[in-house]
Amino acid sequence: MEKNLVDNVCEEKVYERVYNTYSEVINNYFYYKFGNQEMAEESVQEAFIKLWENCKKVPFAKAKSYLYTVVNNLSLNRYKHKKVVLKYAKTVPQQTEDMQSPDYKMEEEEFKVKLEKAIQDLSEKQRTAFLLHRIDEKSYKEIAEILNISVKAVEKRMQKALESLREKIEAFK
Amino acid sequence: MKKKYNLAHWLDNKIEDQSIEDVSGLDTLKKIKHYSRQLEKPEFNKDKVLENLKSTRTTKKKKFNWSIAASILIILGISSLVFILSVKDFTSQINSQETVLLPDDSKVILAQNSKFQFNNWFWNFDRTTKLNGQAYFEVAKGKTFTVKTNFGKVKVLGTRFDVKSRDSIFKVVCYEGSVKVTFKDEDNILKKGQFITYQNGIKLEQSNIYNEKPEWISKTHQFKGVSLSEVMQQLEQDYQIEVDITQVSEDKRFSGTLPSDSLSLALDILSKTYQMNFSVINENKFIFVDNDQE
Repeated sequence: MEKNLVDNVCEEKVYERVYNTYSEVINNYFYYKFGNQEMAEESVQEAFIKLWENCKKVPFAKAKSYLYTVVNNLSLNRYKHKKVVLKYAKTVPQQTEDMQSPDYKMEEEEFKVKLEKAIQDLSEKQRTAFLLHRIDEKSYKEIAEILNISVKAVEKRMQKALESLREKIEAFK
Repeated sequence: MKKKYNLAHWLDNKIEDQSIEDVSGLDTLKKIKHYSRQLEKPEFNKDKVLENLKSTRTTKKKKFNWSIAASILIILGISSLVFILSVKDFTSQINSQETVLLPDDSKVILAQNSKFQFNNWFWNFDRTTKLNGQAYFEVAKGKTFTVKTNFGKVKVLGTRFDVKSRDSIFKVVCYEGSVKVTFKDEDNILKKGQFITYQNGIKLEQSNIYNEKPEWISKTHQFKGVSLSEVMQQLEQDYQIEVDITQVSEDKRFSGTLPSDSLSLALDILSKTYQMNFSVINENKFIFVDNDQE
């Protein structure tokens, strides 16, 4: 009985559960890709409407991969890309307090700005993978699922992203 | 292979800082690792989006239904137009009969002052006809043949029968085969030589008949045990006259044949049978009185 219930995404409760589990990461994915919050939300809607329309064909266990497939197939040409604007949470200094020089705070703020710029300049693919890992704390395996690529390919993107970020940040100096 | 993406593994905390000590810019990389973790998630109003989602979901559904409804309407419209265009109407005038041949060679003889309708193009799919008045049918064998009238329905497969649906009378006579008569929710099967009559919504009689064809076709009327007033009603209808029998005392039932194309002969037969005289008021009005000579 319960299995039946769980199996049916057409069931409002199950549908909402799927929504609650995956909507945020899908939203963030689109935001990292295009930097457009409005567009990210609309894409989430589109993906979940598709899921609803096909809810009879998609068992609960397949909802995740179905959503990610939809996400990667959405035609998004109508949106303009924007800069990905990011905020930093409360500052946790990299070094312990006794190591901090008077200039340390300023230097730190400077670095953060450089990092954000460098992230904005990353390619779409690198930025998306990088931020899903750093912000959403997704494992490489999960990122591979979301982007519909292999784990190796994710590792490559991360590697390239790191190298490119370092180069850019050092170039800003 | 593992070495190739060592930075990726280091970022994922799979390997220690020491493993990548030889990489240039390690200091910057450490900073990237540290500060990128402090980035906040972008804004996402989960509930608002879900709300929107639900409303779009329903409107989408509605739109979907509308388009289906619209196409159904268009199809219905076109087909009913075709249907209406292919309906054929026949009306027989007062005092004249009309013979209609249907696409499958079924024959319909309309009694005077009757209306008949059928659909020419759809005939092979649907042998349904409409009748208002009286008609005699000789139906070719085939799919169910239906006669709809204001009062009831008659269904047959292939046979000869007569349907009368006039004023408040609904009468069906079966001359061959069998017919199914539907009146309100009641079904009656008539076999050869049987007839059924309804009047004012009540079954009046169901009995047998012995002639081969209705009298009106052979321009005679057969009566069997009917009251004088009924005979006169038939006469009034056949000849478009008015007959006054209020002064006739005799009330015996009449059985016999009256012509429907010779008024003088009919009047003569009646006055002899009932021992009464009639006087002509004018061309269309007659009064019968008792013949007091006896």
